[in-house]
Amino acid sequence: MGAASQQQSASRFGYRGYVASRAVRGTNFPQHVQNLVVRDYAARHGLHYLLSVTEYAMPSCYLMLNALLDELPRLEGTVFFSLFMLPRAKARRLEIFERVLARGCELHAALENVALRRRDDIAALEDVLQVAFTLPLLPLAGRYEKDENSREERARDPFWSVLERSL
Amino acid sequence: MNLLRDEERKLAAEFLSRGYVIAEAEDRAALDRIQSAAAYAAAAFLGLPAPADPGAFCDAIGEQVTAERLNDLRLAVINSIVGEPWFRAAYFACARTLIESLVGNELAMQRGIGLSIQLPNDEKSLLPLHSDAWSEDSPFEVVLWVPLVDVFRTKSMFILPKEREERWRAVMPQYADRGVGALFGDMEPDVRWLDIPYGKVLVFTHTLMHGNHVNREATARWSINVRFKGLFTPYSDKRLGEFFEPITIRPASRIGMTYEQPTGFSE
Repeated sequence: MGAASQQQSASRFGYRGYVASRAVRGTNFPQHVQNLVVRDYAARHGLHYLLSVTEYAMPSCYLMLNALLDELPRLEGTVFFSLFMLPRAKARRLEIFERVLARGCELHAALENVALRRRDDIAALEDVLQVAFTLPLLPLAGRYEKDENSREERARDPFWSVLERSL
Repeated sequence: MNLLRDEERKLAAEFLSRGYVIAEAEDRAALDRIQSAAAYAAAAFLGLPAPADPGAFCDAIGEQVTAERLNDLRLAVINSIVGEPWFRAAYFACARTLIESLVGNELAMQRGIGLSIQLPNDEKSLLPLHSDAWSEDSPFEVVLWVPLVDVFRTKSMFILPKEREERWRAVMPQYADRGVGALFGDMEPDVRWLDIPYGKVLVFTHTLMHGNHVNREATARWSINVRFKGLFTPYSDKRLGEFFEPITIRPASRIGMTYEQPTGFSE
């Protein structure tokens, strides 16, 4: 490692947690539970955890994420509670990935147990996000519900009615 | 219209009537590599030299480890083989065309693995009667269950075949106060213990009731289980990203997922 890189590493320290105030994939996880997941992930991967910043509740608001990105020069990386806290717009996500990598940082997602460490990692992360964003367009909205009310809804779903008649 | 090929029709009929299929591993070299990796990882954990005969070593693991240390051994083996960059491709290769015939060719695969090591007469490593669809799993999933040793009778798993399942499903509420043990006790004559020699694989729908019992045979059971499902079929609480990952996204889907209609028109 060169002197410049050593100096850069020495001035960086830890992985900042990033947790949500709004639903993640339709579920409202209490913030203390999100922090437990993030801290556990950091401990299991030998990452020095830094106190989480909490994104605001307003839909599509990324003010805290942007502040976190501004802090990257002083960090080794960040641990998101979930990959699904990234913006829905692909161009915005790619911009964030590029910023993280350009700063020599890592972006981890604790719930999904995945990490962005190099450019090659982007494709696999994007595959998961892209398919997941497509699931609501599928029969049953991509979700198999097990309770009675949801089954009744399924029976009323025109797609399933047509399909069942066709079998 | 049904344009499945003849061999696919036969396979589909077998799977729909019984709920499972047992077939030769499609890539024996891949299976042998997995078996060796598991045996070597176990030997390393126990401070033993790499075994010359991985199958025999796995069978006789009960001579090397106590039931109390078994779970630590199991976790060490899981961590070791899951960490191998070739493992997931090798596991899929053991039954790729079978899974594509039964499930589809655009697939999601479980990210972790289940590994069962059941020592002879060990009463602590039991998996009572259950269906995965009763908890977090979607009924659209199948399980690829691969034994790393010959499994038979109580050294294997049991399954309630589809043709007998409906009757037992109907009477389940009668056991609400007596528990799953009583249900299994009465059902036991109807369950099938699957004899599967090493070199074969099992694919089953976990919507069927299944489980294991005390291994009363002389050697240990080793088996791996991993779930597969159609990438674009409904998920339950084991979700894409956390539990499953895409493994075969086709180009038409990539185009469709990112396609945007032209915009900017006005009346």
